[in-house]
Amino acid sequence: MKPFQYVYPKDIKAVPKILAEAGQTALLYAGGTDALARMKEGVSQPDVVVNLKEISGFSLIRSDKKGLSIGAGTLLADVVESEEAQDYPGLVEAVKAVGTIQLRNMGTIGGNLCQRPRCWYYRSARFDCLRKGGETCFAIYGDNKYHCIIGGNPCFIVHPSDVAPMLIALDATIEILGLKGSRWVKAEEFYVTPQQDPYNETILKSDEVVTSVHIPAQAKSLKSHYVKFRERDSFDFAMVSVAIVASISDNTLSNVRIAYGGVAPKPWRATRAEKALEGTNATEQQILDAATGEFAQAEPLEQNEYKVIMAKNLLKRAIRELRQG
Amino acid sequence: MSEEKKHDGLSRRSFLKGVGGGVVGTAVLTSSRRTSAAEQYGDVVGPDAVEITLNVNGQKRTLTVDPRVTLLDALRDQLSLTGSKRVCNKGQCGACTLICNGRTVLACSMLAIDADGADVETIEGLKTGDQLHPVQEEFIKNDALQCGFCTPGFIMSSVALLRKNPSPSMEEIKYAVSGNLCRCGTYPHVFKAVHDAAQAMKKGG
Repeated sequence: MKPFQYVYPKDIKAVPKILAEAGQTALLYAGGTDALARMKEGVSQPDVVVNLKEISGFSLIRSDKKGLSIGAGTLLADVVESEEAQDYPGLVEAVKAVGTIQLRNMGTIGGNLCQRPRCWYYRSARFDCLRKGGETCFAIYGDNKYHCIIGGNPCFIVHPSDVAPMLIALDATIEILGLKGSRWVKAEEFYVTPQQDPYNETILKSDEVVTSVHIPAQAKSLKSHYVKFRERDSFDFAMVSVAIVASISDNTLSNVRIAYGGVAPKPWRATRAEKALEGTNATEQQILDAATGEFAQAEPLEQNEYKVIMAKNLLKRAIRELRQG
Repeated sequence: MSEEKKHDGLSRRSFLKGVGGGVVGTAVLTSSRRTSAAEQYGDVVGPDAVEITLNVNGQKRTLTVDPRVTLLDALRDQLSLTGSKRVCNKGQCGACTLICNGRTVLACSMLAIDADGADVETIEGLKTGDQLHPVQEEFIKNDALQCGFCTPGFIMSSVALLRKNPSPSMEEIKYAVSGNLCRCGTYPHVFKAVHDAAQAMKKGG
């Protein structure tokens, strides 16, 4: 691993300044579970590593009438165990689905949202892939079992976060701090497709850092649920996952919000499926039709057509369990 | 701006910084490299080695590490505590699991410098005198290992579980060790060992 300077910013406001001056050579570091792995592999070679862990106020969970605020530096384990988060069951399920107990004891919610893709071509220093500034996405003709089925091109990663789809379903906003000050964006608008930007997964500019997440208070009638399908059930990244929020009254679904993980280069808001299910009883056939409509534009690669089928079936499971829950 | 002004009292970082330039003896070199803007906005250590102190298994241990050295490598290479295993070295197997400030973490996936001042418990610290920890005893009795490489990680996860929950159900046991992989597939014996250890610890008071 390349040697680096380790910087302890005196406060959060110092972070954009450090980033602006260090430019591409700086790396934000909180839990480190992703960043350190990339540094070992040589995929990230920062000269300056900015330690966010000890910045005061960066780790906190607060709940009030307006909703739930979580500092970006909050450990995933602390979210799972916090009393405040229990009012958002889907959030707790999604956070608990991340990694392992050990990783959740180390990783932060901000880091989970900003983690880099797990594509093995991206992760290997031996492949000068498109996302790293090369000319080729090796997934197109390579091993692409775990790659995206929709929204890809020219790069076919999937976004690996479990938390992000749930935040989108919960209509959360993300607070970003840069040189010009703070801004808030919808979780959904935080992420970009490779067409928009093949080198980054988020809208974060080089001087910016995620500082907190806010989930609006949910109406009592709203339920939330996260379903994750893994090849290995003990711990793994999602092959496909579904985050769903909806009200169910007399068997009718309303205020439906659905976001998928594991299918696209960004957490995939399934607006077509939402519209198709809104106000319906969501029978098996209706769910299947809704998901079929959502993935009508899917363009699976050679080894991942199974994800289209899985995405449809997982939506059925998500709604069935949402009803039971 | 005076450097001292940034440091309130004896913070850990002012300590780290102090030894970074002084003890290592590369103050001239580093200060030229440290003209980076980062210095204006915070404390900076590295890339040269810095001195850190870990409270390892109840003993204060001081060592000198590059900021890039992982906690696992520092323990194994500098303190000869080789019980925590370096297997995948990327947070995917659990063999380096240890307990840091009361929580299980992966030593391969954290920097040693971030453990400065922390309480670190490794497999070496579990026994009392010559007496193995009940979890270790039960792993032996239940034949809960084959090659044994994953065992320290499993045991640390199990010990952390039993501290929080002295009477875990089988489901809770399975969940507690779900972040540890055993390629020999000894899982059923591991679950039984943890279950038996919980019983033994209750009897032992």
